[in-house]
Amino acid sequence: MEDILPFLIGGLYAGGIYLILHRSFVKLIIGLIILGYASNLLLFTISRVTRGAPPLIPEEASQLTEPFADPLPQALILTAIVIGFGIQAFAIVLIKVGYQAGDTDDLDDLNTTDRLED
Amino acid sequence: MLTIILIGFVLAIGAIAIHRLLKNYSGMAFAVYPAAAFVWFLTQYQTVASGEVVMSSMEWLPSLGIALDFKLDGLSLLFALLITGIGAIVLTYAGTYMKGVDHTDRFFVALILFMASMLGLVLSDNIISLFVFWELTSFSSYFLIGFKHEDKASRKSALEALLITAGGGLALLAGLVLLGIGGGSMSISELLTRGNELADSGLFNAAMLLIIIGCFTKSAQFPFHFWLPSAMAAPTPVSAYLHSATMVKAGIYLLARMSPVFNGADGWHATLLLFGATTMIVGAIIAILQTDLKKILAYTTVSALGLLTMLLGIGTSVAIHAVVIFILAHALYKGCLFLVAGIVDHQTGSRDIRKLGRIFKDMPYTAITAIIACLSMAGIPPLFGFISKEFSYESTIGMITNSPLTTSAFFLTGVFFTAAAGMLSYMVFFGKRNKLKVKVHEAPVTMVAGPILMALLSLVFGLSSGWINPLLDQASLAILPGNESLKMGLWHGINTELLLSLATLLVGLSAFSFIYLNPRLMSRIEISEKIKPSYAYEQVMEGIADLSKGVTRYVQNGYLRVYVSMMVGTFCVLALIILQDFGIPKISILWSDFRVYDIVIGIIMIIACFYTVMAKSRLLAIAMLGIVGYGVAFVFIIFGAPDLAMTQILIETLTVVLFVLVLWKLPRYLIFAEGFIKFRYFLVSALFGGIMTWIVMIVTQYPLDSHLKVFFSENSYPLAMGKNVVNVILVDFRSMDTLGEIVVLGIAAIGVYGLVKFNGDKKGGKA
Repeated sequence: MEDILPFLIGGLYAGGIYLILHRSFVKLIIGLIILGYASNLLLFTISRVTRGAPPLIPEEASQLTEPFADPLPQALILTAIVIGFGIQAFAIVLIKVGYQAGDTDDLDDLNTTDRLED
Repeated sequence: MLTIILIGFVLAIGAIAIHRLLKNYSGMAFAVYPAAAFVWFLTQYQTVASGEVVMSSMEWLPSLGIALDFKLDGLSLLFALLITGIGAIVLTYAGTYMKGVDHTDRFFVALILFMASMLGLVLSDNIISLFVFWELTSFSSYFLIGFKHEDKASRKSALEALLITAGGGLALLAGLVLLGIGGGSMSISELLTRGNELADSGLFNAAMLLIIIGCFTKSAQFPFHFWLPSAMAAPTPVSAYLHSATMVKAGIYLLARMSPVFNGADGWHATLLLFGATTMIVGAIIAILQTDLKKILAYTTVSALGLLTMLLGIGTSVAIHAVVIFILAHALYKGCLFLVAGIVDHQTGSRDIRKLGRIFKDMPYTAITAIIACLSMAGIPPLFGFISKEFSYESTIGMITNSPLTTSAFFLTGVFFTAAAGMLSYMVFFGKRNKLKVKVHEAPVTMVAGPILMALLSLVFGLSSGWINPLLDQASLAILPGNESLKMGLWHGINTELLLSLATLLVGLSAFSFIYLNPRLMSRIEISEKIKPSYAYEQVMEGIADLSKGVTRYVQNGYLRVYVSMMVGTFCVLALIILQDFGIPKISILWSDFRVYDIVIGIIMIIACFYTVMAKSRLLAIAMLGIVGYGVAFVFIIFGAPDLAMTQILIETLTVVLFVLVLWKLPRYLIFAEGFIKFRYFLVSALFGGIMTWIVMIVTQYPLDSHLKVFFSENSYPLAMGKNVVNVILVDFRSMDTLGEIVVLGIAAIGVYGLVKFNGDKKGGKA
């Protein structure tokens, strides 16, 4: 599995970017969510994976014995997942409200504030 | 000396409050500061005149050699007296002149700020503190020129002056730093003795050129001169003070200050002579074509600054004498004439010499003052300007090379000065007729007293130049160490200089009569816009604006996909540059290490991701997205991260629920991109994905040193009494992080709630 993780990550990144490049707001958010998966997996993988050994200290012991998975990246990724969810929830509600207010899901119709007036 | 300057800065800050308190009398109250400083500098007169130097020092950044060192020698004292003396006059004058004008408080703030900065500039003995004060004068000048900020022309002039002087300031900074490096010191007094070391370091020419550029922009030398006439948009007291008597002479001051180092170098002489002479003649010619009093004065000031530069370029003993004499003479008569122009403008409402005339009887004191100042400007004995002109002629006649050329340049300028002096006095106060609609009265004493004093000094110094001789002597010694002692006097016997002076006067007067008798002809002479340096400046400014507009249009075009492509593209290029050093990673898949469910999960995820991307229906895309998310959770389970897997599954479920909840309100799935565009998107994303894969493979091939892993595994239970190490990290070791995370989630929840509220619809508030 370790050996196919890089390809999985690459595939997720490519898919995320591909969706973001489209003009639809919904696709943009789906793309962002996929990028989030890819980044979490990237962080997880480059700090090395250990199969089937969660960092849980056994009942009778007072510390972990090798092999065990690195707990620190897990803590960081947990934070990232939760924060990512905050952003996703906000973005999803935003498209809904944006669509109701502006009657469009097309990013090219939402760029008037970002362009130089002629 | 530091105290005097600091008081100035403090006073500038407090000026608004003082002005509120004293209203119309604030000008006189402020004038107490320069007047007191003037008196203090006068008490140093004897010390300095005897050749001693007053020093004061305070460390600022000793590690960089930057200090607030101040030195008072002849040259500094001459300028300090001019700054404080004319400063006191101008502040008193401005108190009356600015009466009834809005925001006078701001005016005083900037003016006092300038005064203190200018004092700092001429007293500084450290190149960095000198530069700081130099820039401060540019800034205060900007505020003062732009004082009438509702007026577009005013703002434009202010910006023009700032850009040119601050641009030159950058050159100056570079030059000073090179000078400091080459000479091995930041102290000006030390640098002045280290010309040889500088020459050895190879930085001599670069430092000289950059400093000259800085000085030329500040002192309005051709082709940078045009900001000075534009700066006439400032209230007249400012023009009198900054733009004729003091600030514009800062460049001259620095050139003079640096003379002991550079004087003798060929480049120095040639550059100063050439640009000085051009400025002098161009300024003088344009001056007599003007009809606005202040413009005439501005161009003659440009011309005078050119003359000073040229004299510094000649650099002989007599020329340096001529420099210090002319600095004083010019400050006295030009400052006076500016103030007179202000009075005329204030009392009549016009500055146009075609309209003014026959007001001598209405304002006799002003008129007599103006006439005395003009006589000094034209160089007529027994005024101080005459002595100045004699010395200038003497310095060109004594030149070894190019004597006839420079002498005739001086002659020409003298002629124009005389003509301009005639225009400023005769045409304004006598002349043919008065086209003004108003009855003219003499100005109040607070306005007239200053100019009268300055005009009287022109007369007194002319008659008994011995009074000021020791100071000017010391000043010239500061510019040219070991200079012969100066002997000023009105009568040198009948010699070439006197005859030249006489000829200048006669030709000048005939030139004036010609101008006076042919006003139509004069007004018809126009200089084509395209040959003016200001045209080039405007072209450059417009070019910069157009360029930035074009770049903004191109780069910030409002298309998210373009931004994303640019970011991804830049990342890919940079990553590829670095990655090529690492080469292609070894792919060694150990099939024995694989479990069946690994492969199944991997394949499911890839397929789900593919369908998310390709789905034509939104529902399918979201469902597939959910599958990818659960797949990620499985990866976490396989590699010993049950907490992550739990969170991932929980959140994946919530996301999908949330999506589905708002789904029915959303528009049809938009599909825009077709064919080639899609292919281009595909290429960009495939490249990015490939590079990420490559990076992960390379990173995982190198060993990882994770001492934190060991730390947490060992200390989790003993220190925090927790057996789930990930949990312990989150709620104990890194609890502040988690608190921050909760805050972020809270804010997101408020945001979601707000958005839902905005719509009047309470579904979806599920964060």
